Amino acid sequence: MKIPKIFFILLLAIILRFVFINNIPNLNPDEAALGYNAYSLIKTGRDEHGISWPIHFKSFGDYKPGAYVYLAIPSVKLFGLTPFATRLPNLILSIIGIYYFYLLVRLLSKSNDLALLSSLILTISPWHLHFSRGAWEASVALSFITIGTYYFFKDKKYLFILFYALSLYTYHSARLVAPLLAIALISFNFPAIIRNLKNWVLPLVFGIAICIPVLMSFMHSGGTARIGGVGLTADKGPIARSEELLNQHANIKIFNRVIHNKRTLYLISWAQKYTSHFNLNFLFINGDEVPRSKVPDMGLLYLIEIPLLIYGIYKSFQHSKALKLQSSNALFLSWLFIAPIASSLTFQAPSALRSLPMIIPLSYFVAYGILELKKFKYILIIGYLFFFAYYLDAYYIHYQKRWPFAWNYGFSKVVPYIESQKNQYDHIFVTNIYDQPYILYLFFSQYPPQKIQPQIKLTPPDKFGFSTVDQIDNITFHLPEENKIPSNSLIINDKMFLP
Amino acid sequence: MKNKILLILIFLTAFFIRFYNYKYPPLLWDEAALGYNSYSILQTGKDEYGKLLPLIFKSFGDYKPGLYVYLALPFVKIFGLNELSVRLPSILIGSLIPIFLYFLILQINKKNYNLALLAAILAIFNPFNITYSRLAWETNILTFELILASYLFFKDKYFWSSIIFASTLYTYQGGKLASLTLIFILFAIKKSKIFNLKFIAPLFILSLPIVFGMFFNHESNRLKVASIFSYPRSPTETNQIIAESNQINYDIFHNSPIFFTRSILGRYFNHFSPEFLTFMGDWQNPRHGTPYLGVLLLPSIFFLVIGLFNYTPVNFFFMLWFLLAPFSSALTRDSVQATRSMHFSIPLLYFTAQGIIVFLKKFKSHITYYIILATYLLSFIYFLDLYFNHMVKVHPIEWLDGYKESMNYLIKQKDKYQNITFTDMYGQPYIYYLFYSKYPPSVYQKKAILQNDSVDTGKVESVDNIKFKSASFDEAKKPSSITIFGYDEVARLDLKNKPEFNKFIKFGNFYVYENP
Repeated sequence: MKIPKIFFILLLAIILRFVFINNIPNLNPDEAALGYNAYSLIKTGRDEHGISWPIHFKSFGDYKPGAYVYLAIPSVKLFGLTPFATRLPNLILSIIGIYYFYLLVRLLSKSNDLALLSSLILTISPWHLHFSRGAWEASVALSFITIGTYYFFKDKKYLFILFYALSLYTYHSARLVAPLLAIALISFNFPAIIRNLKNWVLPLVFGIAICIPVLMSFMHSGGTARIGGVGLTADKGPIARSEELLNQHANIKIFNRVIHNKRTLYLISWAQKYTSHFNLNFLFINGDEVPRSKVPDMGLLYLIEIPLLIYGIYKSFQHSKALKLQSSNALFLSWLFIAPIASSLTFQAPSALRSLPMIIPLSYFVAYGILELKKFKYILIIGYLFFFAYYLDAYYIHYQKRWPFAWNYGFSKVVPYIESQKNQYDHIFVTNIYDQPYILYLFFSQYPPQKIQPQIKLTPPDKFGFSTVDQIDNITFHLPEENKIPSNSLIINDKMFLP
Repeated sequence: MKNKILLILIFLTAFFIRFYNYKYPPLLWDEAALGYNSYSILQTGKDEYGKLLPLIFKSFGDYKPGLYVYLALPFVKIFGLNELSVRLPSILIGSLIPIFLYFLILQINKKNYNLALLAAILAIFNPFNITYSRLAWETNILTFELILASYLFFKDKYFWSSIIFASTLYTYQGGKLASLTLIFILFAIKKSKIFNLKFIAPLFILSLPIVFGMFFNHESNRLKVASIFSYPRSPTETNQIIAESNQINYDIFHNSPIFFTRSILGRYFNHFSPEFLTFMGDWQNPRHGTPYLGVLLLPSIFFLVIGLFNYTPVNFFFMLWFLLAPFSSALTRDSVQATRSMHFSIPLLYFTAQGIIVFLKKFKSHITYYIILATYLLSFIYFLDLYFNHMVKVHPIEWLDGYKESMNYLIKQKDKYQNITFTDMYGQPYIYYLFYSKYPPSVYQKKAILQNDSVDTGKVESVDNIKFKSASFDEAKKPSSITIFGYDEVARLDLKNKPEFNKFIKFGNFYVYENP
């Protein structure tokens, strides 16, 4: 029996995603929160704040969509509260996502080569690898969307709606991207859907029914809290600029008020943020600005893919005119333009995390370009091998040492020490320069959830809407002022700040 | 006939936009220097340092290629030494760019009438072209020459094409790389025609003085300062990378060819970024554009993308130009540089025009037509407002606001005082003094001394009894003194809290203090 080629690609995907997954990278607070809340649900049926079976987890006050926590319950139950168990749902789903991407391209383009190549490019893509190695809800949501899209074209209406709805329960940005993509899908097949309208009635009712809890959550503060913190208007730049420009006019006319209006400026600012996701510097040279979302000294895609991508898009344009492969080209092109919309509506753009869905069309067009440039096969293979090695080096060797703070390096080692000393001191102080240290403490000490639920108290939110917890038992998660250290204290600080 | 009227209309519109309020923004150092050297040549036949009819002007020690100085001669003769005569060559040639762009596009493909016309119209209103045509920027002349030379080349007038290419070397520092790029493109298109003696010989002969200067003279220094290859990875960074791994790893993945490739590509991509094209422009230097706006009008980025992806082999020449133009500035130290890459505006205009035409063909209706017109009109008004009402106010220091007014005041008052100090905070004050006082060149040539200051420019420390240095308040309080402070000095010396501050007279960034 002949083994299908996709099997080898998936094998490679498994290896690249599972190797050293417990330590590289270190667990970050968001991941720890997902894992610990799953643990808390297993033990007590309530989350860390004592709320039973929530849809959104309050966590740091950012109300995380809950699907990931529920997905993590089986693996945490099976493997205990470890980074691996927390990450397992995403590892599995990202690999399933690759498989469905293969199925989708094959179904639409009728070309097995293109499908194989697309999934291979996705498998080794630094961008996709980065966010599939870790408990990133964005990656899980993307897999759900990919699976759902495949079922749409397979005409499995319930599955399509189910997976799209699941993505809404998984990640904030998906709440914009998934509906927009669904609209695009439906508009492509509008005549067919109209003809079969009665077959769509029941699935639509089903869809609305399972989305009701999400829609409800928009009504109360939980679902919308984050929009205020990280939304476009969290950037006060346009307001200041509007005032600056208006002040520079000696006498302000209505016309000036219109063109220097803050809404006008926010519109321009949005356009800038949206287009910044297509900046080649962002995609190929520097990547995201946030160290947690990037690999040092490289972009989100391999440099060698620039000509492939551009040529691929160009050729697909040409072929679309000739009605060749039309449906897949149209789908992935609209996917490419829809993907950054959610990300462009936040204050911090471009963001590799929030625009993650871009990687699907980008992989497709790179593969498309490769098939068009087959004659340079050997150059491409050598180029890819070099850049792949470059990526492995940057990710496994340089990353943690370059930005140890980005992934709370060493926290897992300090927790056992805190545990051993806890009873010998009256006060323990732990530095809070790394976001939310309390959750890492809870996670690595496997702190009993029933003990945390009554005493947890969030601090007032910072300007981005995030909170933390300051006190657990005798542990304080900030440093005392220098002359006010109580007697019998243990202080844990970062190496950078040692006198 | 109809065509001619149209072209004249295009020229006149372009001229009006470039000429309107020609004294705005304030004169920049290089403009003042070009003007004064022109004046000097006109009066004495020599430049400010007394060199007879030079091809390259020493000026601030930056050795300016001299063509612009000679272009300005007739205007300085007619209108005297002022902003108008300095800027008029650039204004006129900048107004010719749309017309010759039209001719070039038609010359390459006779069927492209609509495209040629649209590109010419876009060129009239494009911020990139307007900002560089209103001021005496040599790069604007270069852009015109590149269009003209390519046009003549496609017209099979190789001799004249060659002469124009050669003249770019005497126009602008960046002309060498830009011309090389264009000649390479023409070579890629018409291989055999390049090796035509009519083309090679004039170019070769006329470029000899420049090549000679590059290798044996002062110019090599400037090349070194500007080149990206003079700025390798810092030792701290190198050590950091080696500490993270080891030497072998560094040699394989982080060696200097990889480092330079990444830095050059990063700079190259910056020129294609939406930030540069549409939203910010040259973010390193506010003098290179309008604040909060890129080098194109806002809707252009949309049509540019459409135009690019509707590439057909007819566009080959402009596609190569589009792809290679940013290398003129990507090989320099700046992360993005609008001045060096100004000729990049031409392929941008071409593909924007193509995008609009494709779009109109796809969505044929009056409504589309009006929507496009309205968005362009709005965004052009937005540009005009930012340019005329805000540009200098947002960056008064960079735009050297007040040099003219304070200098004119000083010229009026200077005979009353013995100690005269003018701040050198904002660079090269002496040239403004020479320029606005119309200082007799024959007198100045005898005492011109340029002190070495930084690596690529020098400074003049005094002219007669006027000292150009950082102003101090103690000296200003001596009897019979007039001192001109810079805004930054006033802040640093905390002069606003001194009792004497109400006697200061403010001109833009400058504060005059008189002590009779």
